[in-house]
Amino acid sequence: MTDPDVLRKAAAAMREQYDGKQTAAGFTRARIMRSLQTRRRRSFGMWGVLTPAALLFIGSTAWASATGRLPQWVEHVVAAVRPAPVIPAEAPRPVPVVDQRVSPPVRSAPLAPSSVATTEVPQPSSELQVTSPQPTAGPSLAGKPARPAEPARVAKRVAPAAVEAPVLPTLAPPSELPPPVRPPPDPEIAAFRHAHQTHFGTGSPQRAIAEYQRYLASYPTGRFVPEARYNIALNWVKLGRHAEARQALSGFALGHYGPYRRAEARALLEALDVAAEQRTRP
Amino acid sequence: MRALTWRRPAEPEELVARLQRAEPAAIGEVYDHHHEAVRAFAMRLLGDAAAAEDLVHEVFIRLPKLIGKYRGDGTLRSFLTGIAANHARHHIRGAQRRRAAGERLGVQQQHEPGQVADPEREAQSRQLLAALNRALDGLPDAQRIAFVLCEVEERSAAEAAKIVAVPEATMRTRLFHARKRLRAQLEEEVR
Repeated sequence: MTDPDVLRKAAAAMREQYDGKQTAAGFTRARIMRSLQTRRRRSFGMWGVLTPAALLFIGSTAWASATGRLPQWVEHVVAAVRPAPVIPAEAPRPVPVVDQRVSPPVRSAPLAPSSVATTEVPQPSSELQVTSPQPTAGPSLAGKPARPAEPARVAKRVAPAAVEAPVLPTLAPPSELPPPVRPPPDPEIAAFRHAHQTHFGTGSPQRAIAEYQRYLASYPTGRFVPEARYNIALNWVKLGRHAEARQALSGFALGHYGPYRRAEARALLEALDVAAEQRTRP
Repeated sequence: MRALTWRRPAEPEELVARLQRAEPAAIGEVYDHHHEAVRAFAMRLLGDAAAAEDLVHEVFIRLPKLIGKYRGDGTLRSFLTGIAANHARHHIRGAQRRRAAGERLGVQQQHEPGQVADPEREAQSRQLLAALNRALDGLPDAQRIAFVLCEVEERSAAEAAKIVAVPEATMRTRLFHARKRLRAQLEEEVR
């Protein structure tokens, strides 16, 4: 037989058990104050950089304006801010490019416009617009005599020998490419890796602590500082040095490293409390 | 740790202005007056102490930026509860995972020790609470929040709707569906 009030009872149980009175209240308050303090410091730091930069910019602009150098000043600023334009490979040239398919070239014969790769020829300078002397221009005209001056001039212009062949970039075959340049080994990573291997490989907490502390001394603001400090704390626990372990874990539990190892640190601190309590019991 | 002492609450307008300036003292005052209520809501919503503390932390960190939306039409406590409800989603996931892991390992939530008059009733109450937390995990977040606000915290649907900024009819609908599903699941577990 089901209890019709089971939901109400469950809600009442939740209301009773979770009343908001937790001993972590002061702990959380300290954490909140610390987070706010960090945020204020960051905000001041940002304004401390942006405000002088803005003042410098305004001052420079005013000086440039007063000394009549404003256009150059604007040009310099725009050039500094805007990325360099990329020149496309197929930028138009004043000299027409001959389609290699149209070969062999005929020096003296007129070439009809259709036999030249007009799509590759930049537009018009009118003297490059080949106008064949014959209205029925075509390859069949090759060899046929035509008006001497213009065709010759045109032929000369479009003859491939007279035209610089486009220089196309070519890729060297892979075997000829230079070997990739490897970046030099990162000393910080090497130092931390050594400490890590001591921690996990040797089974000696003292040595692990010494190696991590050596890393911290060499790289006090390094990338692996939180992990190094946490592993030191774990080794203090292994050695039974609970006072040192508490000190090392408190920073993590308070959220000094954000959420990193926060829950684990709190759980460990609670376990240390329980262990201490059991030791003091008769 | 700093002792939590009661102080006479500041005038709302003055306090709101100080909160907008993110004055640590103002945030500390608000925390001292309202942390229990916010934490209670967080615990009831999440069912996990660590997640609840994280949510409480987030509420008071976000307060300076969000206080501008406080119009004074509800209490500051309701406003804080609204912040908690609106920012609870990712904490709900974390709390669910943690609770599931704890149950698998046989680890129970540590409750504050106190004088228990009736241990059997206390044990039944804990069992029912665990069943309710499991059932809540199966609800969509919106229904979960509706249930906690209305059924557990015994607020009216109108007040709950104002807290999460939805129409009252929406809140009633969410509550209806939440109750229906939870009742069915609890009856199944208790049987």
